[in-house]
Formats: sequence, structure tokens, C-alpha cells
Amino acid sequence: MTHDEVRDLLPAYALGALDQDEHAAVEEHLGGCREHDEELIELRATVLALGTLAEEREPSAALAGEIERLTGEVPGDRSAVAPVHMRPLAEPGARRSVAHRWWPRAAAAAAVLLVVFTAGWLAGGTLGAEERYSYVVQAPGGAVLEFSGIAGDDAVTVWMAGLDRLPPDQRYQIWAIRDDRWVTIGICNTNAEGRWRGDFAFTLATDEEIALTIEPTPGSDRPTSDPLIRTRF
Amino acid sequence: MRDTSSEQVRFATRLQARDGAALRELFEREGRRALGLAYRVLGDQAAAEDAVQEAFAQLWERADRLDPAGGRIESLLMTMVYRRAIDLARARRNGAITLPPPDMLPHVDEQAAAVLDRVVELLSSDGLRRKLRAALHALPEEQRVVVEHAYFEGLTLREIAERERLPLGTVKSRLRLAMEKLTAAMRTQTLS
Repeated sequence: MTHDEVRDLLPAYALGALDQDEHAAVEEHLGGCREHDEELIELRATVLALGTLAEEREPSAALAGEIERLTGEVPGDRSAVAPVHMRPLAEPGARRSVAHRWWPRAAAAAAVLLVVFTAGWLAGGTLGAEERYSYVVQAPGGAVLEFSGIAGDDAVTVWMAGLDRLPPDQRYQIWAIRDDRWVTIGICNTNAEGRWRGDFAFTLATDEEIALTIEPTPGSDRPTSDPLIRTRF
Repeated sequence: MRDTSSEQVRFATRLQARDGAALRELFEREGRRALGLAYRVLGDQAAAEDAVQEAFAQLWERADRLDPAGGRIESLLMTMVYRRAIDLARARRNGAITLPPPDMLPHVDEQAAAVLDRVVELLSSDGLRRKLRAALHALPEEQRVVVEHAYFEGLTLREIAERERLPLGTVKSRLRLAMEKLTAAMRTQTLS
């Protein structure tokens, strides 16, 4: 691609509006062309500025809650849980601390007691001497739902993988079933890679029966679809 | 006059240290604008909130790799929100297959953000919006439409040509003329 041809395409390049092959050709040329570099910086500044023209919108409380959860904090109780990645590993024997240990996936898998459930799911869990638990539900298709935390604690860390990202009008809802009453543990959606991780303000019992359903956004008071998972600790 | 660059570096340093309060401050300060941009691209509140959430998650995941002196976090965040929204919009159009918008050369975006910062310092954010909106409205309609298709819908030149039933060369030249005018308006502000 010639110098002049690249110049003609720079505005479209700055907007990300070129096909992949043209984009690559422009990028290759730009590596060694100072003149186009300067022009491109101005064009990109314009593109960034275009983003400021959109009218502001009020985020929902659910979105604000999701941002709080990113930092490991539970809305309304900022002292309850520290961010997962900021937690130091728990000292052996530590009973109750914000220093929850994020169990390595392999260690958790090695520790699980596998039980075959009628729906064809494999599930298992462990309750160690330090009263930390990690409970894993694994589907034949590769989907995984894991709960971890400290027994009796007021927060549970949930990790999901291998579950399709739902469209905007649907959410995954995780339930505890207590005396035939369905209580919401939390509501979430997986990312484009089919994963989600976060904390919910919920105290799991040691013999908890849990379920996962797909519900209309923003969630339901009671399940409206058959559970993808229903199992007991 | 406040030393905004020092404040920006301090704020970026807090994020880099994974200070959750800093991320919440960023959301409180920029959440509405980020959501507005994602909504402008996607036209759907729930999908727009997904894009914003994912951009914040991506920023938080990579916070320890931030360069505190590398420019405004706000510009980086808005770029991430925009790219995620465009990705979702393209995924919708093309079914399950999605091509993420190509990344620009990193040093270009850093310097572009610095140029934008200078304009904001001169005009304020509201002033920048007024000037840019005026420049956009001053464009001939056929040029403005092409910019809006490319920016707010994430259409490629080829897709715009198909949508508008125009020759590809016409779309290319309209987009180039429009962007040159908008960029000239920005340049006037930085030089005046």
C-alpha cells in the first residue's frame, strides 16, 4: 500500500472502520511513517472526543451493585468482604478473617468427594479443618459452578465457567432451597468467554440445596424455568 | 489552578494498587457518561449496562498494569466501553460471530488522549462537546451520516456502502472529508 493510499484510509482506520486486511496493511505502513503517525494522533483524538457527545444515562442499581462486587464488596456492607485478589492467604487455623483463601482450582478438584446426581451432573464439596469450604458442581458439557468461602461466613464467592453468556433480557439466578422455599443467593451473567466470578452476601448452610436457573432480567421472586443445576451440599 | 495531572497520576496509582474505593469513585464520576456512550451504540439499556460492567471488569483486572503517567484513566475507560459496545453491536449484526474492533497502536492512543486532555483543559468538557457538536452539525448531511454509521454503529466502510447503497469510494471520501473537518475544528481549539 502506498503512502497516499494509506493517507486516504487513515480516517477510516482511526474509526476502526476498515476490514481486517486493510487494517493490517495500514498498520504495517504506519510502523515506519512519522508523518502519518502525527496525523493519526489527531484523528484518534477526534474519535475519542466523539464519545463525549452521547447523552449521559443513569445506571441502574443493579449495575452499581455489579461494580461494587468487582471490588469484592457487597452493596450496603462495605466492611464485609475484601477484594478477592487483595486477600492474603489465610494462616493455617485462621477461623474468621477477611483473608479468605481463593482455593486453587486443582486443589479444590483434588479435594472433592464426587457424587453422581440423577441429572447427570457431577458434584462434590469439602469442609476442611479450618472450616473453609469449596463446593464444585461440574456438568458433562464442561460447565462448572463453584462456591467457596468460610462456613458460617456472611459472604460466598461464586465462580462459573462454561455457561453461555445470556442475552440482555435474561440472567442466571442462583438459589438456595430451604423448606421448599426458594431464596435468591445472587443474580449474574457470564462474560463473552462464558465465565463469571464474584461475591454474594449470603450465608450458606452446610447441607444447603442449591439450584441455578435462567430468569428474565433483572431476576425473579421464584424460578420460572427448570433448573440447569439442582443439588445438595 | 488545580494540578490536574498530579491528581490524575495519584488516582491512577490508587487504581494500580487495586484500591476498590478508586474504582467506585470512577464509576460514580464516569458511570453515566460511560453508560450514555454504550447506550448510544447499542440502543438498549441492559446491553449497554453489560458493556459498561465488562469494561470496568477489564479495567479492574488489568489495574496492576496501568501506567500512572500514561494518561487519563477516563479516556482509557471510555475507549474500553466503546470497544466493548461496538463488539456487542457487531456480534448482534453478525450473529454469533464477532470480530473485535481492531486495536490501535498503543502509543497513538496515549498521545491522542493527551491531545484531547489539552482541549478539555482549554475548553472544559462541556465546551468541547458544544464545539464538536457544532462542527458535526455543520457537516453536509451525507458526510455526517457516514461518521455516525462508522462511530456509533461500528460499521465498516464496506458495510456503510451496502447500507447506503453507495460506491465504496464515495463512502471513503465522505468519511475522510468529514473527519478532516472535525479534526480541523479540534486543532483550532488547541492552537487558539
